[in-house]
Amino acid sequence: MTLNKLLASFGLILALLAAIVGEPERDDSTLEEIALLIQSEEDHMTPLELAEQLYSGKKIRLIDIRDSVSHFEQHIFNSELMSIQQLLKNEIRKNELTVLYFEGGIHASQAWMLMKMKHYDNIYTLLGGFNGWKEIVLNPTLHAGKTEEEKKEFERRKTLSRFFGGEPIDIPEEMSKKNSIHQHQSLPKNNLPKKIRKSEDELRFQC
Amino acid sequence: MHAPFYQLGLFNNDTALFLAVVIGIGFGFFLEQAGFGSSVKLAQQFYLRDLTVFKVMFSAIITAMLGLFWLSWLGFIDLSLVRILPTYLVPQLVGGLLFGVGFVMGGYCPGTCCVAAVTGKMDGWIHLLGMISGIIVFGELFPLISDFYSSTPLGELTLQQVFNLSHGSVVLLIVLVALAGYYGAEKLEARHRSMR
Amino acid sequence: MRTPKPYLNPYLAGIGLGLVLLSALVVMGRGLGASGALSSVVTFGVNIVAPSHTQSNTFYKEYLSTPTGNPLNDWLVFEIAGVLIGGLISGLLSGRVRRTVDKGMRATNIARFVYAFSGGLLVGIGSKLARGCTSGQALTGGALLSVGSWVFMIAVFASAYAVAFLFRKQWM
Repeated sequence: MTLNKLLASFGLILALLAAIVGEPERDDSTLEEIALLIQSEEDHMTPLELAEQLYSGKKIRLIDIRDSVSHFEQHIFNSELMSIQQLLKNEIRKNELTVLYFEGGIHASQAWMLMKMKHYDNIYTLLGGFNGWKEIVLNPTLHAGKTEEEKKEFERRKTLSRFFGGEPIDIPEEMSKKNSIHQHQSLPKNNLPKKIRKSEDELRFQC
Repeated sequence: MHAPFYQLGLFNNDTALFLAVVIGIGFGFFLEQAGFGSSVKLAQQFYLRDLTVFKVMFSAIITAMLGLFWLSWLGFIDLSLVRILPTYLVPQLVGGLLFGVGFVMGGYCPGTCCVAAVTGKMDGWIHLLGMISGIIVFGELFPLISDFYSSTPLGELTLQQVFNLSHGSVVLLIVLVALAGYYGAEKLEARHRSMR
Repeated sequence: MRTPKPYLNPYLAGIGLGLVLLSALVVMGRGLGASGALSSVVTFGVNIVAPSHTQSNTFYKEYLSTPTGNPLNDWLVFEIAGVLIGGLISGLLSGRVRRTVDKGMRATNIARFVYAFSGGLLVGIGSKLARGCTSGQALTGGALLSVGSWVFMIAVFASAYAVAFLFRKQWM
């Protein structure tokens, strides 16, 4: 009987302390941690970082929080379409490396905040969103470099772009020198291949 | 935060299934040790002769409840990751009423029935067969009762939300009720022993 | 045959169970269960007999959605396999494994079997309707302070006490 009384007292003490403590979560540290992550820019991945990691075969869960029309029109290979509500409910593992993206940056950042509040440790947004992805990874405007290093980088970007189904926009060395100010005016030329590219993408992603 | 391990992706599905067996062994072991492999012992609860069911159940609930509270307070476990079954008030009430009748009639609940069967109780095997039939009946009737099954959904509702108390206060209340219950149970059992 | 050892102090047995439950919550983020495992087994059986039937029934379909599509590849099924092993180990260690029918002195085997089957039937239906049994709802949900689980637990005891007099002969 003394053992039972000992156990009862032990339970009662723990319960009394629990009532004094009130809540079992000590959430105040969370906000500070989130603030620190944003400050040190550890809340996002740049399109190039993401592309390099995907290219090297790293397992990343990509979540597209845009609407379904945009998603089916074009999306990053292997990404899942999910609304923010679904994202909150969905069983994404806490430690699973996850990248959220929207058209631009804001929406994804808001979703990121919510997920951080729920203690998702390994979640990032895509800097610049899908627009950034298109501009930097899919259709980079490239100027042939002079140094070996620049040339290497140039080839790398082309490989990445093609890997993800994009089309690098090549600007020969002389032209880029002449037109350095008028770069954007050369865009109309690229409109045609862009349309063709889109239909290619549709084929690629709709199956 | 270090736990729940699986939710934090510390191991894969195969490891989870292995751990399921390990955890199950502990579960079955203590059920049998408590005497829950015997329907006669379980049923005495409902005639106030032997209140082991109440004592074991509440000690288990209190242990896990206090453990969760303090592990969370220490920052070891993230409670938001522990899945709470959503409440469907009326189906759960009706289900509980049916379950109670079945419990005192058959003498077992699903877990204890498995322990009874494996320790050679023939009535445990029959009860197991009855439960499997019951699940088939439920499955076949499901299209008819699915509306009722999903009625009165209240989500992941907790006692502290309903009573507007802190988590710790609810913990204390449950422990106080249990301790009072233990006291009463010991008195009842002592009186029953002295009457024999 | 050895005489069976006495049962463990119920409070210690309860604490043991509570620690097992706590470890499940810490390791998996989910609690214990029993009726869920039986549902998976039932779905497995029905799926062999009538695969198109399980596909069209939303109840069975839920238990089919495991990583491999096999309803037996489920956490609770493995857990309940462990329960069988653990129960057997404990029974063997305490000299309580033997072929018997557990019943009161005045009850017949036939009556006991009829009640066991009917009781099992009700327990099966009740636990499905309530989305869990004494393991999943009462113990796990109880420790997590879920409202539905406490309602379930109170309902179980209330109705069991209310009708206990009908089955008195079986247990005395």
